[in-house]
Amino acid sequence: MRAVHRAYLIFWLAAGAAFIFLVWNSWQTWLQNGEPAIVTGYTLAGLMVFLALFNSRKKLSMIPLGRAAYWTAAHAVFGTLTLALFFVHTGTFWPGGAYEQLLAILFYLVSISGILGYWMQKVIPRRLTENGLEIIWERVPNEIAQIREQAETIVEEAAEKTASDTLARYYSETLAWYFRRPRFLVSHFFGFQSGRAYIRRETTAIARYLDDDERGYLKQIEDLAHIKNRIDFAYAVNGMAKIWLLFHVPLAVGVLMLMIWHIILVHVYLL
Amino acid sequence: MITDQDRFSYQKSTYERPTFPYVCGRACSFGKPCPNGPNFNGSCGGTTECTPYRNGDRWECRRATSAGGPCADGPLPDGTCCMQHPPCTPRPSLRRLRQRISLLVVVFIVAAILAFLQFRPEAFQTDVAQASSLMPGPLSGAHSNFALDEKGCTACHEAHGKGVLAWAEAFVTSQSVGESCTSCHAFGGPKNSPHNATFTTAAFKADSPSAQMQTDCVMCHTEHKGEDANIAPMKDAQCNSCHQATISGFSKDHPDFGDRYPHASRGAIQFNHVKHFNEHFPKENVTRTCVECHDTKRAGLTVPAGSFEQNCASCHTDGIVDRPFYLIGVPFMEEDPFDAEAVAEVCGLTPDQIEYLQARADGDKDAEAPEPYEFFYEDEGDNITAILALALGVPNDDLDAYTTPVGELYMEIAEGGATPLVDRIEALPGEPRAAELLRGLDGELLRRAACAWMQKTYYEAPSESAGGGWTASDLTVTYVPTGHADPVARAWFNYAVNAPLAAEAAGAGEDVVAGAEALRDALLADSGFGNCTKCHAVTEVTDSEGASGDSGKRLVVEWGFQPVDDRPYMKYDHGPHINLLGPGTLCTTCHKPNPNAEYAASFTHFDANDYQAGFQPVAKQTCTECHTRAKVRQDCLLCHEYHLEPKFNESMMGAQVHQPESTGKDGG
Repeated sequence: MRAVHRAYLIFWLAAGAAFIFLVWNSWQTWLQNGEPAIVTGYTLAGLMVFLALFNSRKKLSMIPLGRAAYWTAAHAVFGTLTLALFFVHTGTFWPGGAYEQLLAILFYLVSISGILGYWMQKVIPRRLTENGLEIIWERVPNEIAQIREQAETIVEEAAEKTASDTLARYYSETLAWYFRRPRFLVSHFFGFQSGRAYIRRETTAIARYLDDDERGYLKQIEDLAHIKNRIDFAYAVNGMAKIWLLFHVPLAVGVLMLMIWHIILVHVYLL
Repeated sequence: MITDQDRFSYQKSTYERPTFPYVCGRACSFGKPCPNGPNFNGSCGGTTECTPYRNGDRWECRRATSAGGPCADGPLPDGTCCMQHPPCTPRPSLRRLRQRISLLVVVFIVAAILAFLQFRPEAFQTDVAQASSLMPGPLSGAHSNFALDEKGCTACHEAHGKGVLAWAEAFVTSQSVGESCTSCHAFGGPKNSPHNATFTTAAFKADSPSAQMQTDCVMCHTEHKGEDANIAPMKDAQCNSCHQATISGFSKDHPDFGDRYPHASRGAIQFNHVKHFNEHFPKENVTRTCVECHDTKRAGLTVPAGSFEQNCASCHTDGIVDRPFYLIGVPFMEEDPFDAEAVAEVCGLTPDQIEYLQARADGDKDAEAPEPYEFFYEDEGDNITAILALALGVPNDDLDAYTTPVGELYMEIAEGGATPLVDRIEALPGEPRAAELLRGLDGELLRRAACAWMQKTYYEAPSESAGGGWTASDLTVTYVPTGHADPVARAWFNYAVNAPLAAEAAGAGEDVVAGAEALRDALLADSGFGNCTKCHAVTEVTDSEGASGDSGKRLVVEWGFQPVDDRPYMKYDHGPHINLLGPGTLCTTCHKPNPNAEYAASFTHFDANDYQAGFQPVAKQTCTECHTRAKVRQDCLLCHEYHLEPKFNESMMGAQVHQPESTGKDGG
């Protein structure tokens, strides 16, 4: 068993035990006319702070705070525990007051985005491996620019050596659009092959008008296009994993803010 | 390029800075990014290919190898790079964008909280109140008008609207929300003890909250859960956590009701159902049913019977008016204690003497002077009445003891009417309210009767009395009840039942105590005044203001019908059960008469708990025919109340009266 899997197992066992204990404790407290929401509430608050620390951990990579994989595992497992405990704490899916409803909405959105993130975290690395191309997301623009330069160089060379502008005109009118930036991102994210189909369609369409020399240059351009297609795929799926955080983190911050307000009100007005 | 396996070589690759807040503007538009990238402050760092280095008096190119190495032209003479580019507009990185959005969310939430932070009561008087950043949810329907009061939220939450310091103090100190509940709600016992009662620890499990546990309203009652929310949810498991007898289900392991269910103590009115149904009703040759007397329209915990006039008067009125109260009468005396001349002076002539003198004045010389009835007191007299003996402080059958006091009293009555008697009654121990006891008594009637008897003649009433009230006959002055619920009769009973205890408490002599007992026994006897206690129970109760003082015990005559309240935590509604069984047809499904019970004997003493019901006990099996698993509800709260005698304080009623005109949902 891999160390990460072992960590997952330990975290799941710990979270399950904690959940069972908290439910049992709430039940016993309620039976004795106590207020179970105090324990579950502060446990929830602690869990939320712990989950938020994951973001800080990523910024403090220089400090040895444990492997990021362990943190990811803990974030996923205890996030699930937080979601379950939320219902134990509130006893309802939909609270009454406006600010508590806002808190619930944000919490649900954070939870949903968290589940989505966990799914992406499980799926995207495998898909990137299957892509066969390892690339740093931030370097995608540079790589595309280089491929575009190389494609244009090939087109210029073809025009110069074959004395035909057929390929050059076709590139400038059609293929230049494709090499300008990442294309078919949605298709790539959902695993469709629109990019590959586009390359095949366009190269097949022009090939019949080219002689053998020009077809050789077209083959080079087609190879570059396929490389770009894989870069586009990496850009799409990796980018989604980054853009997802634009929702998850601010929503989590909103939950933390309203949680603080909730704690203040509970202490001032009730406890 | 991507296909280059050595592309991350330091000579080919620039250093990536993923935590940098800005990214190259050219890269963002998928142009070729410059090797330098943006500066930390967000400006373009790629306007030149390098930053030349001055080595001695020469400028040297410092272009990175990955960008092509030192250029051929080298730096300009002024030390600037020879390869100038137009600047790009760097854009925030995703990380910076995330920080900005997060900050925006924080600002939005803080602004929203502050914008909807309302403390004035008026702010909570409309539907918009639910949008308040303080409102955790709508109040329940019963409490939904609280915000209409001038106190508003402070009715329950003290720190509301009292500033930051009050909030800070409230944050670190315990709140007492539950205390405010009892400004409106009241109970029959301590508000902060389980069930509003004081229990012995034996009633609790060893590991349960002890009998000394202090409860708080908010332990069970949680507000702000919606207008229709049940703010007092309680489950059987909570009952089981404290009670020693663990009940998993009523039909399964709830104890039997016992042989005295539903009542272990007698009611206020003695009504022998068995005797009436078996003996009295058959004489009328009509078939009676339960609902002829019991009003099923008012069915609740009880099915109350109709009034005396509705149910009893046709048979029992004569039994009331036939039993007068004897106030005074001609005493049995062997010696005449009265001075004839003094009596004549006070009372004047007797009717016989007037008749004799009239005859003589008319010329009838044969008229004979009336002779006094020498043995009037021996022949017509009787022991003095119980109240007279008590008032004089003498035994009612000791003529040596009472002759002289009676003589003096009657003489005083002849002189002053009822006043001497009123004075003596007022002087009795206890609380004899002569104004009530002798209400309607005419002093002249009393004086004339006394005069007649002192002159050894029968009192002759000027007219036949009718309709009850105070009346004098030949030898007695009596009170005849005017009917049921006669106020004078009630007053005599109310005083007499406690007279012995009061006399003992006052340290009165034996004769007075014995006289008080005689008066009480005379009234409570079968032939007693109005026959009241034939039906109305006389019960010993204990309270802090008992007639006997220390013991706190006193007797009360239970005049009105009151439901037996010996199971304060029980609740039951006859209504749906009657509808289910059919009104008046199947009452005996539960209430089976018990002809062998000593029901009447239960009313011959003052202990309400020494009681045999006229019905067989209601068995648990009667209920479990329906109230069982998979049929009808059988949880604890179906039949049991948690609180003892829940009610409202009078102050709440005042608050309701002074409630301002409402704009709320239920306040109109």
